[in-house]
Amino acid sequence: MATTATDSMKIVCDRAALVDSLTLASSVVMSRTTVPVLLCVKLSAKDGTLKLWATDQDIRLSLVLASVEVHSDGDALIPADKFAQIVRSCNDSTLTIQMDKNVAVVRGEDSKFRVYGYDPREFPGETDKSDVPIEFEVAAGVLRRMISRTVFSTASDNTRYAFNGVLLERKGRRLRMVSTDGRRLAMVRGDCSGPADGDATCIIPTKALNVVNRLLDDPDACVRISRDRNRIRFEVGETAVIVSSLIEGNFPPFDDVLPKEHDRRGTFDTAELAAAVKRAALLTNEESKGVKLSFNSNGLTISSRAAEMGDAEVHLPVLSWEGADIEIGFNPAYITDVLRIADTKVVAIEMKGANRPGVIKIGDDFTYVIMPVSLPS
Amino acid sequence: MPIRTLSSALVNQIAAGEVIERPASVAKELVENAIDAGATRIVVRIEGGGRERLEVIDDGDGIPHDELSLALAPHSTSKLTTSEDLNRIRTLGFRGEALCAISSVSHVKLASATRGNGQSWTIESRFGEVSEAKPSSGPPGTSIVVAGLFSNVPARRKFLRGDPAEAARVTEVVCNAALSHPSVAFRLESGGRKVLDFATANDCFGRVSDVFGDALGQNPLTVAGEAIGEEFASRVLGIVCRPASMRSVSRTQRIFVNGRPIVDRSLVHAVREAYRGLAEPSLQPVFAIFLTVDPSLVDVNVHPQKSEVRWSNPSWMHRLVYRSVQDALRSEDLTVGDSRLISHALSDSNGIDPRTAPSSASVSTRSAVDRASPSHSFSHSRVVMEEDQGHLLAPPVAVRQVLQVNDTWLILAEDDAVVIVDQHALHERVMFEEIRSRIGGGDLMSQRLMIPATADVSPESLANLETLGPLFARLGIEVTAVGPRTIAVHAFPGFLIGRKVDAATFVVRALCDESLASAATSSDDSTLREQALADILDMMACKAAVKGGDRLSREEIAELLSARSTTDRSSNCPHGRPTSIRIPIIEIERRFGRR
Repeated sequence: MATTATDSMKIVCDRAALVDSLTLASSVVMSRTTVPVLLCVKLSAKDGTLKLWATDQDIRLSLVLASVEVHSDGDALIPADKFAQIVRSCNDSTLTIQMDKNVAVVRGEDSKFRVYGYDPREFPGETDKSDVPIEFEVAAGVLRRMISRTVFSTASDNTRYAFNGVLLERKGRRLRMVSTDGRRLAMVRGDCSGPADGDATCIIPTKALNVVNRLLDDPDACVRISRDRNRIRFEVGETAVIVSSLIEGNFPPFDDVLPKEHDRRGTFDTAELAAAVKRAALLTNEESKGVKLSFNSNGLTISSRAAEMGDAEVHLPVLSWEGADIEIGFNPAYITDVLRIADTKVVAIEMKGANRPGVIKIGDDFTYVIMPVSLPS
Repeated sequence: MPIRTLSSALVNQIAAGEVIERPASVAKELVENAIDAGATRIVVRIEGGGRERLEVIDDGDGIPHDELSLALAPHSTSKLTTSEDLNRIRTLGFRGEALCAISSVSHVKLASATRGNGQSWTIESRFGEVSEAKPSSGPPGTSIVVAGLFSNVPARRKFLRGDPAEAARVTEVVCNAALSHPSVAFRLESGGRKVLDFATANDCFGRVSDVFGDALGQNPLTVAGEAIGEEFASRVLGIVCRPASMRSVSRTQRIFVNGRPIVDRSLVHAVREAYRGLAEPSLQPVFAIFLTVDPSLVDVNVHPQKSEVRWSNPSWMHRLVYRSVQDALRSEDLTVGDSRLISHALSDSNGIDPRTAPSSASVSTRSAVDRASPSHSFSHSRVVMEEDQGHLLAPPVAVRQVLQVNDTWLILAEDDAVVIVDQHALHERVMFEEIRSRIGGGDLMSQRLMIPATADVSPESLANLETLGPLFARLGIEVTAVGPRTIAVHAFPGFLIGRKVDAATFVVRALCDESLASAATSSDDSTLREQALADILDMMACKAAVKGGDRLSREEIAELLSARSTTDRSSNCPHGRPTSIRIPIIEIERRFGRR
């Protein structure tokens, strides 16, 4: 492999396809770093295909681009953000990209951009070949559903690193993904298939899952997953590979946190509940949000109060109610977050006392636990 | 030894020990008598610190000839007749024992002439032996000479200190009397030399600046508080120094109730609390606070020297003083180096007169405009306790351009100055006031944690949990011990979580703070416990605030600076350090040699 800076790549590619790939690459590269090559996307034209890489040193994305004519092989390392902006802003249906030393010349019908790049050999990382065998496979549609049901309730920059990612647990053909920020917890189930048997758990950074999620447009595509001690690898179809380092640390014992029983249960229209909470949340303090939910068989009253602002009360009907009346405080954002990803018309809330966690259930496979807040009486 | 009834001379000597301790006590009693007699000018002369000779001359009503001998008799007074009168004492003296006590331990010569008939009579007493009244000559009023104090009680004399120390105490007594009676002229001479000479002042403010002089510092603030209500009609007037003029000694702190100087730790504390967070905690404010209350609200008959009083509602008085002083401080821009302060002379102020009940319409009103000297002009604020609204806040800042330097300092231009703001200190104050108001409004949401945050602490620190636990609970922190050296946090304030404050780390830090633990331990002293609460709040504010070194967005800077004008006491961080420094353009011009 004698890729040197003197190779001058020349390709003609479909602009729309390139926009998608570059947008994805931009979401991987670091936004702020002192190492300029980490802000770049690497292109490599060879054997009639164009491959594209981006990394932030924890996550490494590689994509194979469709709809490209390779006129001459070669590599390029171009600042991802600027490159993406240029490609996005042009109107042309195709763009010609030609390297002149380390300068990328992007040509449209009526435009020409010269973007200063870097020596492609400076791009960090190894090849995409993996000698770790595939561990299990999951349908893109299932994985997508599992990711979107968990990533929203992770923490960011938490000193308990495990909170900054999503736990993936495999027991044979059963998958579970769990995420928590210490105040709420989301757990979703799914199925997977061979080839290898076995149980395993790992914690995947939120950012990696967000990138993976964007590759899962085709619900029937197959995602092959393999792991070694500290990395996980997702192969999506034949065109995309994401390798991410794993989060070390212990995930909290979530099975203990999941309430085993409840003595009150109500069901609500998902959209009505979401709208009601959102309205009540308008009169809560920016930094100290809490709404009071008063449940009884006649319905649910959501009330809020913000010092020096005012108070609110929203009432909505309950579809069904079992158990005694209860008043409980929750952070409204934690409720609206989960209702946003709900795909059923009805959701159920289960509780056991104002000091105990509340549980929202959506479908059969999703459980969401919210810790209450104490509200001024 | 058989039991015997004591001779009346001995009884008087023993009683004298309670009232008369030293020359200053004599001076106090005699000056108060003079004031009660309606004097407009009082002269005090002492020799040998007052123990050799102490003379008080007034131009008051005088004592009629036929009452002269009674004046020196025990339990005789003109100020009280029935026991109901005790409940509404409006004179400084009332016990009727001072003159008797003095005369039993010294040689007293009393000369008095009433205004009406003009004939002066003199009576003498040598250690209680009273002579016949003889005619003499002298102006209307009373003059009393007390010579050889305690010369018949060597035990007492032994406890007197040196002449300068005793003279200083007499000076203090005269100063206190002068402070509370601005309409009376005072003069004190010691060993023939003038020590004090206060001309008649128009109001207490004028007199305070005469007495305190430079100790008050630049542009002191006036305090004017008022409690309206049938039962507790009370008024607070006073002068307090700016935080920048605070000192390390507490000598220049005076409190008067209905014209009577009192020692009251709780009210001193109230004033100091109002300064909390405006200066280093070790510094003491300079102040004179004059309380005018209905005589039925205060019992002055607690202590023979009347230096202590008992309030019918002490915490209420504490709050009134605290709020009044706090409002005076809040109403001013206290930014360090501020030379721009608009000090407008007091337009109306009411003189304090102990004989006037607060509800009475005869409260004398005088203008202070002519009195205020250029160096001590007072700005004026008024607080009404019942309506706790409308705080006069620091004037809004016209922020034109702001520069963040070193990710730590904000530099902005104001009309006539450059202001440097410490972003952490200012934000800490903003957070502090915000959390405090949240607690006050019961608006501090506490978020229950899914998995308790645990941390290890030493067993000694863990023991503090017992006392700090209730304070934590008030702030929405629920902590339990889960082992001999481990704590678990189960609930934590939502806004701290939002600001990424680690619950366990925070609680451990609070538990390890010894001063916090000891303050919280004094369970009987609610003020100390409040202080401990404020300390925890301060730790919260510090943790939640932006740090020096944090780059702020333009929006964050704008928000922080706008909070500067809407937050109470934004001139200083909760530790008392300044949040901003103002460099007047004049100062810059001078440095550039343009002036």
